[in-house]
Amino acid sequence: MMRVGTRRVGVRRTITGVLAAAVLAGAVIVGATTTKPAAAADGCVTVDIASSPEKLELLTDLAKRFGSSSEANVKGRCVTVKVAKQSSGAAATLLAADWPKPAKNGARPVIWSPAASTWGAVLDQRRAEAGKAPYVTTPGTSFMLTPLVIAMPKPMADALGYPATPIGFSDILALAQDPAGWAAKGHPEWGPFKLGKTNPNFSTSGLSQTVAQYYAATGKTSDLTLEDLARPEVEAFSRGVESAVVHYGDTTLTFLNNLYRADRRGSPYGYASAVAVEEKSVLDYNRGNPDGILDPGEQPRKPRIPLVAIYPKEGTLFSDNPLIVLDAPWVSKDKAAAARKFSAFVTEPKNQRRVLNYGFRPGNAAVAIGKPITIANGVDPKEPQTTLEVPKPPVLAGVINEWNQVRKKARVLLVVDVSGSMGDAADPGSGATKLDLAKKAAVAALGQFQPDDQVGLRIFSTNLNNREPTDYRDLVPIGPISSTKSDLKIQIEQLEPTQGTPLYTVAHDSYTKMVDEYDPSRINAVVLLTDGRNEDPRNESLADLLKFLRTQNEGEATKPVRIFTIAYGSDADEATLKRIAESTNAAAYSAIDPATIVNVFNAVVSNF
Amino acid sequence: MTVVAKRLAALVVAVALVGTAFGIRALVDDGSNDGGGARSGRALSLLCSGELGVCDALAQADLKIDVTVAPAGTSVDQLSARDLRSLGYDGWLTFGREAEIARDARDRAGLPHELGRPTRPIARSPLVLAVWKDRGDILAAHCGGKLDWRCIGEVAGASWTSIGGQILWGAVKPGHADPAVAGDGLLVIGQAASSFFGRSDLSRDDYTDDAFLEWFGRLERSIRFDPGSAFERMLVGGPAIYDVVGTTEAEAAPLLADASADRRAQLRLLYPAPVASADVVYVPITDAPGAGNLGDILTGGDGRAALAAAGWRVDGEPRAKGIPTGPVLPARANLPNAGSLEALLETWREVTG
Repeated sequence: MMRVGTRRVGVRRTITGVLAAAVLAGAVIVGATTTKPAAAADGCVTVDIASSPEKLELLTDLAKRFGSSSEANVKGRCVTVKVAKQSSGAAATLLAADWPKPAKNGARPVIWSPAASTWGAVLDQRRAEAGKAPYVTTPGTSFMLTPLVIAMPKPMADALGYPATPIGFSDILALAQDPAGWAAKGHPEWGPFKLGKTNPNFSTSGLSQTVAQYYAATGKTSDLTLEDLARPEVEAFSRGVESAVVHYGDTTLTFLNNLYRADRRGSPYGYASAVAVEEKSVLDYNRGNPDGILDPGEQPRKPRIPLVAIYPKEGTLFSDNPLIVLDAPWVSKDKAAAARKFSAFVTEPKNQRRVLNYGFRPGNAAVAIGKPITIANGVDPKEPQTTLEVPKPPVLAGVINEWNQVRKKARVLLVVDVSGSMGDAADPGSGATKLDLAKKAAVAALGQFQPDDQVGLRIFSTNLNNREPTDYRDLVPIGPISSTKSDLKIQIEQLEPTQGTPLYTVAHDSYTKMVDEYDPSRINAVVLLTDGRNEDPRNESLADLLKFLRTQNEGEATKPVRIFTIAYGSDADEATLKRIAESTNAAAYSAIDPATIVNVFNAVVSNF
Repeated sequence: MTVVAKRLAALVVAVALVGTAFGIRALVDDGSNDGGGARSGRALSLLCSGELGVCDALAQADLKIDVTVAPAGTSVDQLSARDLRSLGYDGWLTFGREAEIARDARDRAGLPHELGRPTRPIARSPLVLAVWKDRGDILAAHCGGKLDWRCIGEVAGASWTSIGGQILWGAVKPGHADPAVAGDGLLVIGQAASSFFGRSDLSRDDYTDDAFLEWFGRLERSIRFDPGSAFERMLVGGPAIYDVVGTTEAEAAPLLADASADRRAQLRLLYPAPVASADVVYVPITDAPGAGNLGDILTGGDGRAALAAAGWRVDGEPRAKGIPTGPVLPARANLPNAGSLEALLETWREVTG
């Protein structure tokens, strides 16, 4: 008989139980960021929380309020709650490994709050497979909800007849496969239908959308089977859908940020027609805060064209944001008691109203769903009307595996800085240079590409060659990684630091090369890694570069090539790299601490 | 060394071992200063079925009870296969049927009779169906005006449009707690089976009936089982989650009474006829030092008041917010007996895979 959920009120016990669980392909650690915790007073019980990113601000606020409330005590000892950001997949991976290296990965959590309870099952499934005791022995407190929706610019949703005409994943996905694109709906000026979706290995939204996609392909809303996934017509449907994807990624915020910038530039229809996101993200976007985080002094500006949340007619999936008090060796009785007090605190009606303010639906039925979840803000409190069934663990694993086969293939040029500063020491312990660590990360990331992805390698530094182009050299031409992988590995491992950093020239020319060789069936992208700033007196105009990239990326007949940038080391010109990435509707990544370069490379490759 | 000296030495070693054992136990108990169990004389040790909704209140009341919370199904596993004295509990507060199942299992396994005779029901609660009003009206019309588990099972998983509902409602989605884990879930499938056969005196043979297996399989395979309370998920998540959920009045009525006005206006609690009852009993652990005292507390004023406050119907105690005066509870539970429920659970496992 299944045994779950024993907890002791008063005395901690060791529990052995097995949860019915889901299996996911390897999620990758994307980086943990600890918020500035309030200084813990001496003698306080500290409750560390690992939270998925989208609710970091909210949980930090609630933690602060809890700390100053009369409820923050256990047996007369004060309680301090510290919240750290950790993506759901990354936290599951760490917990499966007993959360190694707290100094690097952040404090071992007492409470784990992934985006959805599914991750708890994933964790214990992985632990069970490794012969380890489960950590999720008591169901978490689901303290707020948000459904997965299809976000579309309002005129596009209007063109589909929403909400009078119910729309489902099947409709969206059929449109995505229609060669006529938006012309089929009377809007040829919007070009082809472009779909934004995140990588299901990393993202809860991406996983949910991929599940929904397979349901749409089979016409089912429950009981998806491995046999269903293997049917040729299901595979063909999914492959067709993936062909409409602009790129993948580890977070939906990349899409929303790019959509927002496109909107501010007055061309909101060119980048993506529909993106699967959480309902909360639609509210944030329409408030003018697409990434859900307001930096100090940042004033939100509403987009010109708001998004509308479409609640798929086949049903959808909820992110239920559980607060899971872990049954882990580092969770003492007092910590567990303090964690339960915090869990109770956040479900109090007054705090559930704060949850609403952040765009989530309350997890306490005593608080009605109200503002800002209103039609006027692009979302509908009366929806959704039904849900899709979360597939059984082997099927969920099958969904991921199938997706890895049918996802849109990539054509990527890796552009690596080999300027002199890359020879600087990065790890005093081992004596490794920045270039040493980058080489190691790049080689590791090669393993994430699929065999028929096409990958090439370019290096850059001033005066690399005696004749034009003097500032970069193609070491491995772009080709199927199944045939170029060994050459890429050898060439990467042989890289040596040389001279200066001709950043603008190599960005321009690499972009141009990819446009010239554009393959419409693939994601076409440049991955540009540099540790410095432009050091090329022959080409010093960032404005010219950005203008060129923006011009190339606008209009319906463009050949969208993305430049994903990696700012590497503390001297990297992060701001400039961000502008370069944004001008191509891509994303900028930061590895200011060279030790994080492996994780950052993995996140970058999640876009393909 | 003389024989006496050897015996003295052995005695010293034995005393040391016992002391060490207590020391280790204290460490297992996380070094806390508030526990020690009944043996310490400072606290009574209760195993409490979390589905009852009263365990935390008992722990937090000033009753000096050390409470371990676990679902009834989990506890049955634990109590059916072990030397109970090693667990350190003085007693178990749970559903009457679960107590009988655990005792029967111990008997079958030839284990000592350490699980005492359950008390008479301390508290009771009718089993209810919680249903969204608009969907309930459609269902009831389809069911000839009588909404019960038999009818729900006939349409479970079917499209709402096939019975007059809206396309956006998707498939008919019943729900209840996982019967392998939760005591209320087991009682609800007992009520469902009784609804199918029109009687509650069911035997193992009944569950081999082809028509029943087809009906029961359709019903249970359409249900999504997630950890925690199905009714709470329904109430919080809205009609997208479940259309109709079976649970106890003790769980549903107080939560609904505290819910927002729109939720109260949307949801309805039904009492399928004949009314079936979940009963709460106390099971003493034989020879446990605190078993008697614990029983006195739980069957006395403090325990009865806590159960009533948690939504259970307790004779002589005021009813919690949301608990209506009717319907009158039947003298019997109107559910299959413990052995029959065990057989039904086996069938449930077979049909749900």
